[in-house]
Amino acid sequence: MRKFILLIIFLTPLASLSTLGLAAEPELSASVDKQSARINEEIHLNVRISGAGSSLQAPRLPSLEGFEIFYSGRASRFSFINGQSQSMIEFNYVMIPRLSGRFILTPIEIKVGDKIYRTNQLELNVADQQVVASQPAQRPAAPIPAYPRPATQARSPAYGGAAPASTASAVPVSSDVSDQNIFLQVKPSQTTLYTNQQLILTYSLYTRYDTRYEGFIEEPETSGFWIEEFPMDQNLGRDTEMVKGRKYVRADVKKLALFPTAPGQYQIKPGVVKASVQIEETEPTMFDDFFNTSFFGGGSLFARRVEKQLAPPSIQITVKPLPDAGKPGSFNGAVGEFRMSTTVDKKVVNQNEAVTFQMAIEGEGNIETLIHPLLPEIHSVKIYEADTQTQLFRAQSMIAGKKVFEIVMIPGEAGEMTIPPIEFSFFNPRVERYIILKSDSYKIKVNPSKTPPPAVPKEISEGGLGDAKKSIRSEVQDIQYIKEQNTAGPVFLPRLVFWLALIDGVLTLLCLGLVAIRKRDEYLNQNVSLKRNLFAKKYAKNGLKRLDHLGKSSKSDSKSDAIFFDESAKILNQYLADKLNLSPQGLTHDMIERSLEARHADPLITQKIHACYDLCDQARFAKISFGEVDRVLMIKQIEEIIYALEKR
Amino acid sequence: MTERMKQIFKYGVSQPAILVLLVVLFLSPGFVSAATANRFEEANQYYHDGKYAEAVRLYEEIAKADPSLSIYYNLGNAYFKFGKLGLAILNYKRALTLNPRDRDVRQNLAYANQLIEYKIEDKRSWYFRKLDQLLSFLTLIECWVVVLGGYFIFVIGFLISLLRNRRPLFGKSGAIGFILVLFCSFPLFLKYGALDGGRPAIVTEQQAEVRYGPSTNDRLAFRLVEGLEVSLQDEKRDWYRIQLADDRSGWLPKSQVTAV
Repeated sequence: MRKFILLIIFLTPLASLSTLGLAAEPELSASVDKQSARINEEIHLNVRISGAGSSLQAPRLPSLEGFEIFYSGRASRFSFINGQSQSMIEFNYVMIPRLSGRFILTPIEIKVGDKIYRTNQLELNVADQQVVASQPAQRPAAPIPAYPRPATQARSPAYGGAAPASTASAVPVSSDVSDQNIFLQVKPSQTTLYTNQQLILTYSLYTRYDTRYEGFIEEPETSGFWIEEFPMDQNLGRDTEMVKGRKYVRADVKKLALFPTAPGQYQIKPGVVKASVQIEETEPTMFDDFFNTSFFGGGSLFARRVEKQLAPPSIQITVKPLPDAGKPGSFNGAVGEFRMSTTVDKKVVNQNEAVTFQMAIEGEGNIETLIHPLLPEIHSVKIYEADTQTQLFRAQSMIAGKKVFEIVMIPGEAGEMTIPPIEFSFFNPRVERYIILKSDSYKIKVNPSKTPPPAVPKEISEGGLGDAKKSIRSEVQDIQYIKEQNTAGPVFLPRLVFWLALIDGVLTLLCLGLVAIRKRDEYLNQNVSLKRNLFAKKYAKNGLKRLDHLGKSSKSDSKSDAIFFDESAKILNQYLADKLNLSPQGLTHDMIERSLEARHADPLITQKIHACYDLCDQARFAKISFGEVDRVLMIKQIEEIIYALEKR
Repeated sequence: MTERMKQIFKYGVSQPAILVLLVVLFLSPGFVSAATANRFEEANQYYHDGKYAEAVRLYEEIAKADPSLSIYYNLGNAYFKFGKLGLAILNYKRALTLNPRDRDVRQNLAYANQLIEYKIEDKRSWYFRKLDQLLSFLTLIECWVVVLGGYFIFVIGFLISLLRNRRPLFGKSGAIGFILVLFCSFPLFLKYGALDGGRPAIVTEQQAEVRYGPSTNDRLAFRLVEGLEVSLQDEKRDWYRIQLADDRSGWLPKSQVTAV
């Protein structure tokens, strides 16, 4: 990062100088490393621009039939001598001729500022492959040497894809596409080994292009081997390495640890790796200027890329059987270098209670396939295997690990329980010898207890066996079978919705009605005169009904007449008071007359009212007896008054 | 009444027979006629014997007269076995509208969807997708029940408060109740298509060409394969305007797509 900042600080004044016109007119030149080549032999094209500043776009090459062209990066150089800036940019391309003949590379155009500059024209001669077929570099691949091979040559690498011509002793090259700028090397740690011995297979990608590793398109085929994937770093490590006098960038893309399960001759097919290389650079970003020169994962995001499939040839592996001489009885197939440690969780235990004995085997080798050592039989002690835990880790260039076996022991008798030493043996391929390890012996005090022996010890039922169970695997996926019962469509819910909607509607109307009534009441309570006016008729009608009842029920004598006409006067009084908004107490004829006049009532009604009052007064005060006809007439008169006043 | 509304009330309002039943036997379970039951068993037998074409024909007939979850599900299965992935998915979707929580239907639909070669990326916001997923466990009618039930409780409460104390017409509790009802009705509104804006439909033609306009003279926009879900936005003559979950839209002949 600091380097980057320094570069910016350094380049900014340079860029401004060049824009000020202090820099000289740009000079362009194009050159190739050789003018004549044979088919598939690479030609390096170099386009050099001096005095044009740093932010130049890589020139787009004119299309040239018969050639495959790859962009292989840029290089910039700046110098600042005696106040004069000098800048030079080189764009490099790799051209691989696919056809023979004479070719002319038309001038390459570069835009600097607003001007377009052109390079010189180049001429290339491509010869047929037969002409130079006898040259050593194009020699056909050597046959796979027969195994077993001497141990000193065991580490020779296998090359994949297009590899540089190798020496006769090396493992051969597949030369279908002779692109020598990118190849995959698969290197076994050894080619002859013992059964169960660890073999490390390293995949290294060598490239001279701006390359991006895109994974495996065909996984390695390794039948007869137990495989552990080697944990790789998040970022692929890169190294520069010289191969046959050429500088390559090397990255280890994959590492596998293989454990052969049986002796014999094996062939490992390393699979096919996909990588893409950048052909031409497009618009360079600021970062590209510094970082895109031929490295993994670099390059502009939008650059055009070409896919390369790299398939290294298969590797022959010879697996030797383990020697029978000196094989201990406790040997169970462990090969490598191991250490053993044992512990018990308690030294004192009650009768019929569990003690956990733990045995850990740690080291480099076939940890995953280790089988626990034979358990000794102890008198009156029940022994259960409870749990096995495996942990793998990287130890330098090997896979190492730790396997912990948990054994549950339940003493059935009180006294002292002795766990005898447990023997574990393995074959060490380095010294080619069997080695026997023995654990310590433990003495555990068992106190008498009355607890009955458990059917399955808790330690096992809780964790041990549960973990040991396999999960059910789906074989093939398919649809579920049809339903054989045809239940009718939903009936209940639609009905419920219908009824709910109906009830909700009715309830809503009820609520609205209640609210309306209450609002009306509130309004009328605030406007008393209006209320009296509105309800005058209703009260009067009620009164008339009462009056009618009274008239029919009582005899026609002066006393009952007085009561009847008194009631009549009251009803009329009340009605007129309500209707004319007057107080019913102290209502005089005069007041009624004035009020009616003010309302422009018919004078006939006023006369009728007076006549009614007169009749009532006669009956009440003069004690004149009236007949039934007069009572009916009275009611009719009041009705007429109400009708006439309501009509208005 | 919209097409959807008609669909909702298909069993409840528009069928007079059921209206009568509503009054008499409000809680009676649904029944299947003996003829339908026989034909259903016959179709099942065809399916069992591997005669999927016959099974499809019979299930289709029953589905037209007496649609039910089992019919749609079995029809989907028969189409699946018959190699018509689009129609299988369509019928599973129809079955889900009747009971979105049926495990068999969901499982088969998920499996059928896996077999579609292409996928349409759902470009809606995560909360819309989550909401859609949650709502997919409820049918429209269940949303109605929730809303109407909620409103029922509210209106009963309102009525009681109105009859008991005569002063505050719409107090604090009334307001809370009303908000609750609105909240309950929210999923219903969403279910009505506020989420994707149109009726869901399934492409039933093996290869469907979506164009920029409703005619073959319009330029080809993109291609769809059978089984993909689209939403119908508009129609014109023999064409539907469709929209995908990734917001792309175009016109598709009506014969190549079927509404769920």
